[in-house]
Amino acid sequence: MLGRYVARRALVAVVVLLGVTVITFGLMHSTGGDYVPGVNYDNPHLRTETITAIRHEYGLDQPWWVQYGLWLWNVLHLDFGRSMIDGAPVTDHIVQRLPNTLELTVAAILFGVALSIPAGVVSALRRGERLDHSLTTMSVAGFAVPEFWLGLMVILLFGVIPAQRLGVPLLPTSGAYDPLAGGFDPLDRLTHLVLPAVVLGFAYLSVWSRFTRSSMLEVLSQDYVRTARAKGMGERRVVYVHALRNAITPLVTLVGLELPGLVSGGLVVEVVFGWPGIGRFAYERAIAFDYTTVMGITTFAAVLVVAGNLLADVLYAVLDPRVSYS
Amino acid sequence: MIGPSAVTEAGRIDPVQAAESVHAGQSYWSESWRRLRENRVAMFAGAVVLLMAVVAVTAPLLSHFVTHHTFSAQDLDNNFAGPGTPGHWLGTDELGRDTLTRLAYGAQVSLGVAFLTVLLSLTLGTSAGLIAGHFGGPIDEVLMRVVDIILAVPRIFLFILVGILFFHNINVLTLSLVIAGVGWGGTARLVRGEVLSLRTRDFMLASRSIGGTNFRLIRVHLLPNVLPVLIVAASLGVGTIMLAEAAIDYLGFGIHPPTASWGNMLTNAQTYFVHSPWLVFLPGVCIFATVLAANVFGNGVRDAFDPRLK
Repeated sequence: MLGRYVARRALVAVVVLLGVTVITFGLMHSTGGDYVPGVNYDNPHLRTETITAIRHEYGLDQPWWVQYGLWLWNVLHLDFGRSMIDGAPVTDHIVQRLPNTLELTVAAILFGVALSIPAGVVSALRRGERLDHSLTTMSVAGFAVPEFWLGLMVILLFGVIPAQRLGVPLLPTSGAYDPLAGGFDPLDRLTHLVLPAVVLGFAYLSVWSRFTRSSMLEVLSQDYVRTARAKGMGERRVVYVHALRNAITPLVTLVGLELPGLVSGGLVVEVVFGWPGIGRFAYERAIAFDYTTVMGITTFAAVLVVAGNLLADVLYAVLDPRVSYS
Repeated sequence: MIGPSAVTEAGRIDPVQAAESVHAGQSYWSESWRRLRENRVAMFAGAVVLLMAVVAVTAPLLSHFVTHHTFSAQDLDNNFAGPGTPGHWLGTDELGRDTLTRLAYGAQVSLGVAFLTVLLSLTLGTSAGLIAGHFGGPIDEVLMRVVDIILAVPRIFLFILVGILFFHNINVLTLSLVIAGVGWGGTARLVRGEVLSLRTRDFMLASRSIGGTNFRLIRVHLLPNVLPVLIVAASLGVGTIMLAEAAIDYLGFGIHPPTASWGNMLTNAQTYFVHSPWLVFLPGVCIFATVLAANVFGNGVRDAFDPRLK
């Protein structure tokens, strides 16, 4: 039963993946045309026959379905094409920047989890009190603030203004490390990480703290919590052991939903803070109209989303026997 | 990304009070509308959104009669003028363009795209969801796989891609089409889910047994029943779309200058941050305030209209 379910989900994932590649390839084909990345077409010594030969070599004179098959074959081998600007494989660019992007998004998720659980619990325990109201207000405001503008305000507050008043910024506001320092300095990386990770994590904080609050309120009214209290168990133990454990289990699913965004979710923040990750790279190449690179990165990110969803489906079925196999 | 549906309980009505004031014989619509009217916070928020819409519509009048500047008129002798400068109430930008005028025109883009996108994605998503849920089988399978495919491509990359592919043809209408082209998937799933629970109900069977056609079943029985969910989705969607649109403009893949939008007014913000922070501050405050008002109003609408919360 489980085997059939997994097989079905895998089949759906393959179909979705094919659909995604059709979209990206279709967009690329309609614009990129027969341009060969890395060839300087302005070179007067380049003969027409040579161009034709190069296009033939890359299969660009083939009908579109042959080209699509070729491209798909490459994607299956983790080859996401070449840049139109420098001719380098997009995969190399991605691999080079992936650690930076993961550093930022994982830090943001950790920040979100670390703050949202206490905030949600406190809100639930002091329901209707002033503290609860202010946390709720902050969360509603957190939904409405544009991420990039929050980043700009944070840079103003921690970088520009202290630099004017004190002569030095409180925290670095650009890049992932100090290029002049040389070598790997954990403290330097950490200080660079603080502001972008907090800005990116702020959105998670708004959602997850609300979620923890309502989940906690629901759990606190359950029978087993009343039983625990009736047994004479201390309030701290009731709240932090019996209630909290059950309240944050659904949060795990919610956090898991953000995993596909590990690569793409931080794009705007990466741009604002000059973070050398995949998102900012895609943005820079998009401004330079490097179609093939943007297509390659988009395909890569979509593949990760599909793979992540499949993994979540399978894990869910394995872990939770109540999932219906249909 | 994070959807507005997780926003909860801004200005929720007191259930006890609500239960007491239920009048017998009132329809669902007048009852919901009354509940919304009694939610003062939500009504105030709604008024703020309405005010912004009025500003957007009357921007040319404001420009002509109040600020006496057009949104693109440059005044290079007076660039980076601070707020309170005579003739420029909120100052000027790097080309000496009047900030107040540009903010008013920016409302046109923000609200125009938001409302148009909501309309487009709801129309598309509702049609797809009704058809998929009602007919089921292969039609359902195909439509839902299409939704899966669209939702699998990370939005921000897709927006950037379309932004560069159609760089010279981006305006309020095309930008709305692009955002709606991605956004309809969520609505389709939502509506399909509603229809699946409605299709087994007795009134559906009754209508079918007396010869009701598919079209009639969908139009007369399904559509009115999913309408509350749609109203809630629409009012909560406005804020999310405004934020997405502002980010696209900020990155330079949406509405291009000299047309003013709250997002593209911030594009080069970092370069004149040090001497003119208000130029970074003002457009952001406009986005924040409008999105906040839209979300709070949306929450009020959800509390008043969503039958499952009763």
